[in-house]
Amino acid sequence: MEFTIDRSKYDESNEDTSAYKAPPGITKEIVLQISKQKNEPEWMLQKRLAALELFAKTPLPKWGPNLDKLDLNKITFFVRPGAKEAKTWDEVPEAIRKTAERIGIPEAERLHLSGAGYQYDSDVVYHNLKKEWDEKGVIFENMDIAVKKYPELVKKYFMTSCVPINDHKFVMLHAAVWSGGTFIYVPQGVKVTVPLQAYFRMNAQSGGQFEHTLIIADKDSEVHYIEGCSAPRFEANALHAGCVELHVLEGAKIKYSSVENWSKNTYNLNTKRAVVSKNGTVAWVNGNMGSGCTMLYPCSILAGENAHADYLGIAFAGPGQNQDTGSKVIHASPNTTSNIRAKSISKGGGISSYRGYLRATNAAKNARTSVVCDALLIDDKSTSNTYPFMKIDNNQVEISHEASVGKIGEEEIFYLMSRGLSEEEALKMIVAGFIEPIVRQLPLEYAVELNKLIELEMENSVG
Amino acid sequence: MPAPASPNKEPEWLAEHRKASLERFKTLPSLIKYGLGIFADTNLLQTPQLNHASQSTDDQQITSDSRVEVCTLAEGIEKYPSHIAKCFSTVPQDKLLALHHAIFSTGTVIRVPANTSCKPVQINLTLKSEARIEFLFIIAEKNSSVTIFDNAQGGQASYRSQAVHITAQEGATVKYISTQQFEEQTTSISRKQASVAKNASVTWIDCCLGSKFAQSTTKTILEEQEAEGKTYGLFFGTNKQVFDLNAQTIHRASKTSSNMLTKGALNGNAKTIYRGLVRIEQDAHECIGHQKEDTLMLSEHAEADAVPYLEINNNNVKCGHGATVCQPDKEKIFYLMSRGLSEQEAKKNMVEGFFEPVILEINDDAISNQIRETISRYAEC
Repeated sequence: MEFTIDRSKYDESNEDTSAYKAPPGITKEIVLQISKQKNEPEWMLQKRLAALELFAKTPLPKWGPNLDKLDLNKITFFVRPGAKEAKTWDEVPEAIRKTAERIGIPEAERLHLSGAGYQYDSDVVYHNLKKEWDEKGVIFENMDIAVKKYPELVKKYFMTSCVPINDHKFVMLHAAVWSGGTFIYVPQGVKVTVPLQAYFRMNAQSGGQFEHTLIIADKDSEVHYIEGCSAPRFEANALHAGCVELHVLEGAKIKYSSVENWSKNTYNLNTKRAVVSKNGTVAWVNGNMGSGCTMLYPCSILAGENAHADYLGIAFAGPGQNQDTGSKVIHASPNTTSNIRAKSISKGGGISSYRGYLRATNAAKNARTSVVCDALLIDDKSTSNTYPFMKIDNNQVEISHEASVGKIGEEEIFYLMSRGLSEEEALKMIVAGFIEPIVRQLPLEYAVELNKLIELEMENSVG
Repeated sequence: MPAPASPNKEPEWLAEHRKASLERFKTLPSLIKYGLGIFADTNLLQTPQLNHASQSTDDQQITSDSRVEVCTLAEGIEKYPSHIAKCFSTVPQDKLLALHHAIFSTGTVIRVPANTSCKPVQINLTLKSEARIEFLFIIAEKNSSVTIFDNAQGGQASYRSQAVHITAQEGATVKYISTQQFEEQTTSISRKQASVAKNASVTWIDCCLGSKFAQSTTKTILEEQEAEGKTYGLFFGTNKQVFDLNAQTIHRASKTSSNMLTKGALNGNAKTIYRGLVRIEQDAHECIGHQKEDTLMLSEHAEADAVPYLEINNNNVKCGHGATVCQPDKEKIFYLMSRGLSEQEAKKNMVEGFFEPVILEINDDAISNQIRETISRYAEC
């Protein structure tokens, strides 16, 4: 049985027409250059430099996937596409626009979204928010612009209480060289009923993308934000070390969906975290299909009473891929709840690991959490690991973790075949059923994309 | 720490092994990290001085069937070199096991001859010395069957380190039941390992009740086809007890099966780290592996960390694991109270019932009742 992802529309690269490309490797000069070209305020430059110093002192993490082949001296940390941010697609340079069209962004924006952004390498080339939301005070901006336009909000929330610059090696790197990304502020009581979306595309060879996403949902507001990511395939390794910070204020709700589909030579070492206040909710929907190596553990800090976190994740590891993902939840207040569902599919020697962390502090009375992981192994060369860490410091809790690993049952296939399906169809149906709970949570166009991505091609039969 | 002095008549290679192990012990970090905020700090342990390790004033009695051979480690090394030498062929990567290998002072070898089904072997230890570092080798020959009761108690501010190696040859059945009930100032380190051959079966029942700090590892390696491993664990901590428990099963061959179940409760300021692992290697097909851990939290000051691992390297398997941490079910307590029990009694009943699935596996009334008594005493704290 063959089980592959159709990547043709992502793998194709555009000619490198970048207007500015820093020399590879990370140095103080590059950090100064990034800050200077962006004409940043002094405090941001100081933050970058402090992070760079920490980065230089910190060793690579020893746990998890092997990062030996990631040569940071060969990565280009800052690549400017040479296009100003546009408000309409017509203003976007043709080659860049065509890639966007191939991936289907303008169409999705027209049909399903309140606003969309498109980042190409280090810069955002397109950004637009529908008027209706603009009038209600919703801010949807390119992160670079937000630093200058909304200094108070950015100063307060950017890499402070949620993801501090000293969090881990790749957060330090991110803080030093971050560029682009999304800034969203939803005012008190405003419910953005139609999703906002950003798409991140890496085009430069051996490039690095370090976009920063900061979302602040003020009291009793609601927003759904969707992120898509992809990169063409080159011989050399690329690096993505983004950072997502979600601030869910009292009674607010943020739903964050992302489908990451980087090329197989990309190291995706990403950091996502939410701080959830009283009665707030964060919902993560996380799909990881691409990358050679992913280390991504979206974290929810349930800081206020009755705060809630949902996590739905799917990882697909094909030949040569190592998907190391999972969810972290820290219950730090009474009556907080979380619900984690993770699914993985491994095939052709791929490795998928669920690495989760669950903490209930002594203050988290009546915390409740349930973690369920299911892994499907398509063949006998592939690997599935489950590493859940649980740290419980009080007795008024209900914590459960369960995981199961298995292959597609021959009996299930036989049954479906007895109902008139071919073996291929039976397999497709079982895999589709396995990922269905996740697909159902994705917005329509992403559900279609995911189904397209995980396209079953059956040669030979099982058994 | 001075270089370890080898007891008389010890072979040269063993003296070398002690030296290398001591070096390893010194170089390994004393903080053993298991995960974010989850670690064991061996600095807090009072590891023994070498001169203490050679004393043996303890009261240890081994009773067995006349068909079972019991001899000292020194004798065993000469008689059964192939079984015992392999345990000393590599220097341990585990800090406290490296210390064990460096300074062990005593050891016993128990051999059950082929095709023998013998009466249970009883090993009763009342710890009196300040340090006791010992090996126990169990060789169950083809198609033999044996149950071993390892009851450990006593101790003051003592350090006891135990390493148990079971070899279950083709078709053999070994059941090893250990009850650790040392006094509350004792440090107890236990490393148990079984290598299981074709059609053989090893069952561990590891009861951890005593000690100030207890570290217990049970590792079962299913080496050949249709080998079976079962691991039952029971722990109950109270006051300031700290338990660091690790249950592992490694499936190296096809059609092997394993089941691990640990039940524990925590009262007072007790703390536990439970780690579990089911690993299925790539060439081990048609395996079944299950692991479950349940922790009952009886006090708001107790702490429970759980890290159950699954590592599956092929698809022709059925594997699952689970872990729960919770307090006694309020509805069940309410039900028992409606039948006339006080809240305290209802809770106690529930705690006692919680452990029964593991206690029933012990199959020995005297020991089961002794454990039940300890449980009911701890539940009252």
